[in-house]
Amino acid sequence: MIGYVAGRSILHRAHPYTTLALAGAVLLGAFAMTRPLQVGLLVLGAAGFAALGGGATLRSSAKPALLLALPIWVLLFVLHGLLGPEPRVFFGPVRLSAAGIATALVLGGRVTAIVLAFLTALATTAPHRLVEAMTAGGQPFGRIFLLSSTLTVLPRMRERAALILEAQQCRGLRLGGSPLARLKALGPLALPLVLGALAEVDEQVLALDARGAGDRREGGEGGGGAARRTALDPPRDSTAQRVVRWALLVLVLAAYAWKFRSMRG
Amino acid sequence: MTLRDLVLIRLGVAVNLVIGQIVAALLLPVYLDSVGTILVAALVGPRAAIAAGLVSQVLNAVISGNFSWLPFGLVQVVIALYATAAARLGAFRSYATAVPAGLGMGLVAASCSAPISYFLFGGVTAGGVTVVTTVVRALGAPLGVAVASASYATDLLDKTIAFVLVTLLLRSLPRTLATRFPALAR
Amino acid sequence: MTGYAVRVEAVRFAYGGGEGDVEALKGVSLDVAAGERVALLGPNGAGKTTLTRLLVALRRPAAGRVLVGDWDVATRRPDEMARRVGYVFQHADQQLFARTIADDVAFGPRRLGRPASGVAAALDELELEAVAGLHPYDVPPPTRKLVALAGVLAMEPGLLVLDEPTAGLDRRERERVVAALRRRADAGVTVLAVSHDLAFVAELAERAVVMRDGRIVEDRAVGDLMYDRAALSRVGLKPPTTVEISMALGLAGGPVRAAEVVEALRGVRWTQNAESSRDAEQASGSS
Ligand SMILES: Nc1ncnc2c1ncn2[C@@H]1O[C@H](COP(=O)(O)OP(=O)(O)O)[C@@H](O)[C@H]1O
Ligand SMILES: [Mg+2]
Repeated sequence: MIGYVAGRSILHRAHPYTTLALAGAVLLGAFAMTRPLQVGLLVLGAAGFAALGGGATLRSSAKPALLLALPIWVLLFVLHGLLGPEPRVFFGPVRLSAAGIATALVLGGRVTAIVLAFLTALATTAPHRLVEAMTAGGQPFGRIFLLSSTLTVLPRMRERAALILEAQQCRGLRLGGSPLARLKALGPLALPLVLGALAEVDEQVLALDARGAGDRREGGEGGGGAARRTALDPPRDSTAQRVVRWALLVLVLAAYAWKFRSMRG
Repeated sequence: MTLRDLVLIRLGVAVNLVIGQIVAALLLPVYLDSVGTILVAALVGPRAAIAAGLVSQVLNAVISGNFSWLPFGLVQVVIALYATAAARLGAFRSYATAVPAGLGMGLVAASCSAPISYFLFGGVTAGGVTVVTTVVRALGAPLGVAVASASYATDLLDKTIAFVLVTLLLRSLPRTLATRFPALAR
Repeated sequence: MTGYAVRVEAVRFAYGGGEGDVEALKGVSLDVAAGERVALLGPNGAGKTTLTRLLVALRRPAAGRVLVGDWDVATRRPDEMARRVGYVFQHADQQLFARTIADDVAFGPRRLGRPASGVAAALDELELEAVAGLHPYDVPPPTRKLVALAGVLAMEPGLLVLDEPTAGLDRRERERVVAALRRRADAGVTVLAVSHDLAFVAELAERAVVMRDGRIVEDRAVGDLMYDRAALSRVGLKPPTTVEISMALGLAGGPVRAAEVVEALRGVRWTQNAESSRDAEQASGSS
């Protein structure tokens, strides 16, 4: 449900840095805003951003965003609404804190806007285009490697953890019992996972090395795939997009300047 | 950074993200999601540990969709630095030193995460911490006290267990592997 | 050591449990007597692993019943099943964690409160005494797999269930596995092994159960199945070399184990006159 959804919208065609800058601006902007109205506008902004990605993007990012934000909203209304400071206002049968509700709206709106913006960025940025953009942008190999290859080793690691859980139970390890017994069971379960992975490190390094990964020579003949050192088909950037990114930075800085000025004043 | 360091960082991130599966199966009230970072700090060094912590934070967001917790990345950096210092001072050589070092890590981590949680999220973050916060608040404590006590309680337990587990891990390394980590010899 | 009988009654099982789920077992019934040595064969995806996992309560059947001895598996946890069933995973080399091989082998017996004498016996049976003091990750993965098997033998189970126990092992290591398993079987332990390795099956088992598409399609004596080229090829297998030789020479009695084939070959020479037997010896010596 979460992840890239192919499409041809303006966000799909935009440079990955532009899309990420938009999401990042929502993240940073959210914490600069302290009033329900401001945050409400930010949520609308995030929704507009999602709409730019087209119908499929909106569907694939709005639904999980709301599902993720829902428990937060519930907890916010409990912690700030029910348990918030006096004075109280009546909402049907319940008495809620007036100030608490305003706080809950701000905090819940922040989370909703941030999650919606990033899920939109995730849905419209093809991972390989981001890798190409980072390569062309001169990002260090290590950073690209860590972001792109770690996700690929997770399924294997998860499978291994599941297998170890089963195998040790079949050797008589009980998963339940007293807290101390459960704590002690961590050893037989976590050790094989980590020791097994560590034992494979040198082998993996050799395999990566053979594919030319980490080859720092300029213009070196890097192998294929993830190990490529020069971007083959970097996403097209444009002056307009650069202007947008700079403008977002200025906007965020302005938001914080305003926030701190109004805090002092 | 060498290719081997990168592969070890990747391993640390994978441990951070996958160990929750084991913790959940045991119904333990902790996350242990910085065990990989602490391990990388002990095996490689601070730069690698910071990378492991930050990449974990980002990938966690990518997988769960919960991008609003990205500001907690700052806590990851602090954990990486503290764990490196602890490793260099020999905290992982015995359980007798790992436990106080882990408690210290818990204090430091909570001191970082509690203000982030309070000021940016009003005490409502994911998971069990918020439940503890809500309970303490319902008992009549001010919000700040509720957030702080929940953070300290969870982090002290979490980081102490994490430090003990990493100690166990380092003691369990086969000699052939252990000699491949110069950082361990220090 | 008393072995346990296994009874699988009209078992169905599906992964997923939602839409688009995979029905891995579509009504499987199987009876294995105590002390029997059974091989479970079949192409990838046939449901062999799934069936074995039901025997140790790692999965619960959607329909039907599984009994190990007088225990209904449905009412037990995997760690309880460990008292009766020793389960060796296909990737058993990934479960080791102790600081020495001997310690790791001792983990299971200690969890079950069984005597440590089983540890020494298991190490001995798989010829692992020489490496017992080493760290499990200081030995190669195939040896690790033997260590995992030793860890299960040390628990002294009455039923041994093994998923591809010889995958990744060389001939010498495979012989060690066969010897250890046959010894246990001679002592009365029931053995059920999933395998693609027919040479191993020929040495180990007396009965072969063949699965395909979540069903049992053959259930007969190993000696019988090994000579049925058509039945084997239906599930993508072919007879082991020893049986091929026996078929080519038309050896009497349908020998299956390598030692039996050798014995039968001796019989062939015995019926020939001295001269041609000397020719045969020279021919085989020069080839
Ligand atoms: N964890 C799982 N989730 C979903 N499907 C699975 C899982 N394990 C096995 N299957 C499916 O169940 C069927 C039987 O698999 P399995 O029992 O592993 O077969 P075998 O061991 O004979 O190769 C296959 O179609 C396989 O894809
Ligand atoms: Mg299988």
